[in-house]
Amino acid sequence: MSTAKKDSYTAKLRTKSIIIFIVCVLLTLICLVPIYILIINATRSHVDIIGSVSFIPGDQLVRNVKELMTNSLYKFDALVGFKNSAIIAIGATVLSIFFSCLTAYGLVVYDFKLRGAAFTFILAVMMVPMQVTSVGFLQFMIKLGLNDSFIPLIVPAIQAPAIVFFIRQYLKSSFPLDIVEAARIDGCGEFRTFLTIAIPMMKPAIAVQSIFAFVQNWNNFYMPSMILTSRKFNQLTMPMMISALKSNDKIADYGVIYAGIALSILPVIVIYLVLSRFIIEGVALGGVKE
Amino acid sequence: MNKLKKTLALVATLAISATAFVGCGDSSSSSSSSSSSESSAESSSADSSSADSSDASSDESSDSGEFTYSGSLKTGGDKMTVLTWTPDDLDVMLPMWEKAAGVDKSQVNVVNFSVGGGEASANYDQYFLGGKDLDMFMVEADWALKYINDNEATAPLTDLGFKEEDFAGQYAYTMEIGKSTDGVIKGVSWQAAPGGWCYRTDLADTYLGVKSPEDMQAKVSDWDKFQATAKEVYDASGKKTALTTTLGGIWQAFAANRTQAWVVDGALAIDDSCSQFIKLSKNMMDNGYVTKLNQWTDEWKAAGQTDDTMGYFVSTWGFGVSILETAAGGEGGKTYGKWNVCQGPTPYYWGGTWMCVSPKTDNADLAASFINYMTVDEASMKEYALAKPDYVNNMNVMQSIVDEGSNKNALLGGQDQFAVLHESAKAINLNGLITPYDATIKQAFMDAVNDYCNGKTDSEEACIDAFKNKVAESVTDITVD
Amino acid sequence: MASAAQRNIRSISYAKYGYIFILPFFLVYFFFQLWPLINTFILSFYGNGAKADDFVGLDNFNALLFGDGMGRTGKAIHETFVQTLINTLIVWIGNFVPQILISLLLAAWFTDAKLKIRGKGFFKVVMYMPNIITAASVAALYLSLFAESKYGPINHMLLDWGVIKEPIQFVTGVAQSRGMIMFIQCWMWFGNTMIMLMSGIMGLNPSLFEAANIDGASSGQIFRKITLPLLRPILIYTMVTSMIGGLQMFDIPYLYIKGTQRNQFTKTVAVFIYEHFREKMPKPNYGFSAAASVVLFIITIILGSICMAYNRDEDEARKKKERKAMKKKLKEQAKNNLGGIGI
Repeated sequence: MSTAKKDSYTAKLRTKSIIIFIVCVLLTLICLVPIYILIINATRSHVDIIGSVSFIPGDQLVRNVKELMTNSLYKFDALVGFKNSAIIAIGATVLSIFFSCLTAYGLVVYDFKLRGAAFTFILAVMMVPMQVTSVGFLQFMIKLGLNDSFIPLIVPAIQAPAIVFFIRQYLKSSFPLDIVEAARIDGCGEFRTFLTIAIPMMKPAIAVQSIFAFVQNWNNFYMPSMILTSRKFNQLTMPMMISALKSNDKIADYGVIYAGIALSILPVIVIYLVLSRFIIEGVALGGVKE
Repeated sequence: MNKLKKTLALVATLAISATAFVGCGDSSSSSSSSSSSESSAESSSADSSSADSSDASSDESSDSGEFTYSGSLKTGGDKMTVLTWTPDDLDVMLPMWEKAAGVDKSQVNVVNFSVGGGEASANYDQYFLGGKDLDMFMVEADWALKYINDNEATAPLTDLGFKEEDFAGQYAYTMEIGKSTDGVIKGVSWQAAPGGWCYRTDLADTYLGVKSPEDMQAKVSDWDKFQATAKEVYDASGKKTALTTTLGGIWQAFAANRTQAWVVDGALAIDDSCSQFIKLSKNMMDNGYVTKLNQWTDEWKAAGQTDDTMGYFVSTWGFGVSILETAAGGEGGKTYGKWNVCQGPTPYYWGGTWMCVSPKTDNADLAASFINYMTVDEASMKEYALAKPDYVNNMNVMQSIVDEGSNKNALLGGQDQFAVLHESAKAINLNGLITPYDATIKQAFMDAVNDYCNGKTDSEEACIDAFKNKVAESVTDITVD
Repeated sequence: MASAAQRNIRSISYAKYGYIFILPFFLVYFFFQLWPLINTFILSFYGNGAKADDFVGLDNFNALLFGDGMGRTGKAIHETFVQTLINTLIVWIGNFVPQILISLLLAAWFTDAKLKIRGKGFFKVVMYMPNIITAASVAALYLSLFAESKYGPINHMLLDWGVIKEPIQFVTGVAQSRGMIMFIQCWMWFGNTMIMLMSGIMGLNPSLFEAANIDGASSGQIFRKITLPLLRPILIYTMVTSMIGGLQMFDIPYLYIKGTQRNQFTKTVAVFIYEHFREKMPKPNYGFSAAASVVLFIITIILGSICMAYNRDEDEARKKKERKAMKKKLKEQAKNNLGGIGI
């Protein structure tokens, strides 16, 4: 191959990279500006926020956070909120990911009579609109005496049809079934195969769905506000506290509200940064498959 | 590198879970221990208080805190549970009452839903469904009747030992809202929420030459004058300044003109005032006499710092950050101190909260004592009015506060808003015009009017038609022709 | 030896493990969700408001779908329901198409080993960020940025620059509000879709890409000829979930309103359902709400089946055939064996 051709090839690649870079910068700006404004607002006073938008941080951050944490009007305790949201989000995420992997693996690896029916059922379940089933759900939970408990917020996560569907599709596109057979020949039990061979191979999918599931559960406002009917203070989740800040027009202070919002997204960013490493590792992982 | 990242991730996760567990252990252990000690303290204090007051004088309006329960509902329960959606009133009320009545604060459990007034009802229904302890709950005028007409939800106040005369000092309209359709008193409010019209004194001086609230009142004393003044302001300001900020605000006041309830004999009733309001709205909107802003948006309040609007309809609770103080830009803000209030075209009320007692209560004595403290006992009501400060629901108390003239509001350049609102409050005439459907119907009406004024529907008939459709869709229990 | 073991394994039926693996899902589903689901269907045959306990047969469906019966109520509810269906479709398509295109492009770029994009890690993190903010906060943020009076920051800026003469009605204008909701939805979700697709691409066998690279295929060729076809299961997943999410779109349309006035041109079916079962005073309209849910469910099933039809790839069909053939063979074998024993 002539060097000229190679040169033009790399030059082409370089221009392409530059174009891509510019597109990415633009998209980043679109993503970041509103979030930036949100965080800047956390450092400004109520009147300033209502009056105008600013890109320059104000000097009210300490005051806003202090007000948020200490003023009894706001009924806001970040530690309580973090703790409850973390219990629900981590519990629900772990359960939904593990059991979804199990279900999806069962659907892909084993050949059984009801396989098609089971998968169709899972898909159908995914299509039920939740706005109305939630009433029946609440009534049933009340009958079981499980209102004001975290159980209805965590345990049902075991059935997460969308995650099952994703992992099934993922396994379909990238899981070689021969590996299971090979493991059997080596005398490896079915559950061990699943735990020690399949799970590591699903890492990118698991990381992605963990992030999504965590974010979804962390931000879930609707279900907790329904199930936790008695609003015990030590049971409140982060979104419930934030929404309480917002909906009380008698004490509205946007500086404080934005400080609360900013505070509530911090842990999610940390979790995301931690888990996104796994997605990148996924590339290296693919090589093992051969 | 990779290992480092993994360790970091692990440490982070551990840290998070560790704090979670620490927090968990802490709060649960402390709450359980405190609750056990509470319950014992509570039973003893409940005993002693009832013993103390059993032979006290029956004169209920003597000293605050002295109250004898003489009702028929159950007493002696574990805790008094109060449902609310906005805790800021209770945060002041309960401690004052607890201190006066010698009740330990552990005896009271406030269930705070922290939602907008409109959503509170759905949350209550969920709570009722759950069947947990319930003694009292707060309701809003718009949907008070939903519960007050329901004998399973609310008990007559006579069952708590109150007589109608006990509430003689209250503003008439607040009593009417607390009565069920067949006239039984089941809800009572500690506050009245008469509204007035607030305006910018500097703009009024420049454009109208008006120097005092009395002069201003003369220029807006009825709706024709209100519109004429709006034209005057708009022209004088070079087509810049609207007289008032929102149609929603105008409606709050204008609705007091209605001669019919929204629902008569199970059918939607649209009286002349609706049509008058539509015409007035269209006129004011088309000519720029009112801004295009909607209530409860950020810009609504921000407009108070510009010269684009001259006034707001504001009721008692709106003088703080909820409306006027924020509109003025807060203390030291651009227009702080440049406001005055006058009665406006009609005496009207806007908002307010009523207290109801559940028939399943097991702390009726505490509930009755609290109601007595907040709505019957004039001495304690006055104390609360000055402490909060709030506009309490008693004509004598408010009269004495106005007479003392101690309330000089810096936001209003020293004017006492109570003096103005007190006159309005006495004149509010409700004529039993509330129905259980008001919340939904009012919203439908305002939506239709806004659409008409913004050109989404093109005639008054179309506007009324859209309104009827909306009501027919939403409220299936009534007929809409 | 190996062949003996292999034979051994073949002859064991693993079907029971299939059932064991999927059992927890179904147990939990039946326990927690079956009753609520059935309840919805039952409610759809009952009345509204104070008449919630009356059995009304198909009246709710009649009113919703055809505007028949119930006088003005029937007509009004039919009009609103059809409008919300149209709104839902418009807003979903308007956000889904750009979203999937952008996400796919970005996923392809970010996973292309040949391209050296500076700050790739940073971009990936930032692009996902909008998704981690609660919808309520997102709506509040956009409402304050795009407030439609001249005080709204965006309007203010455009007015100052002389781009526009009148403030734009970002919240109540028909096209504007729909456009805004499409944009916000897209903004919130494209990072999520991108990451999902990236994980799908990364799960593909890298040796295929290496081989293609050695053969001198261009990035575009690799993407079209290798990545896209192999990615099909994940793409179909994206289609189906996005369709379900789109048809049930709730948060942003519910929250992105001017004050308390709901915009009837951005009201989705899910918002309609929610309003009727929760916000109507004094009694909710459970019948309408449940019937609308059932209709939405059926629409979702139909559209979902169409998407899934593409999923039934040849691969699956071939396997089915093989399985049949295998069974036949086994049967024959068994017969022969039995026969052998018999003799």
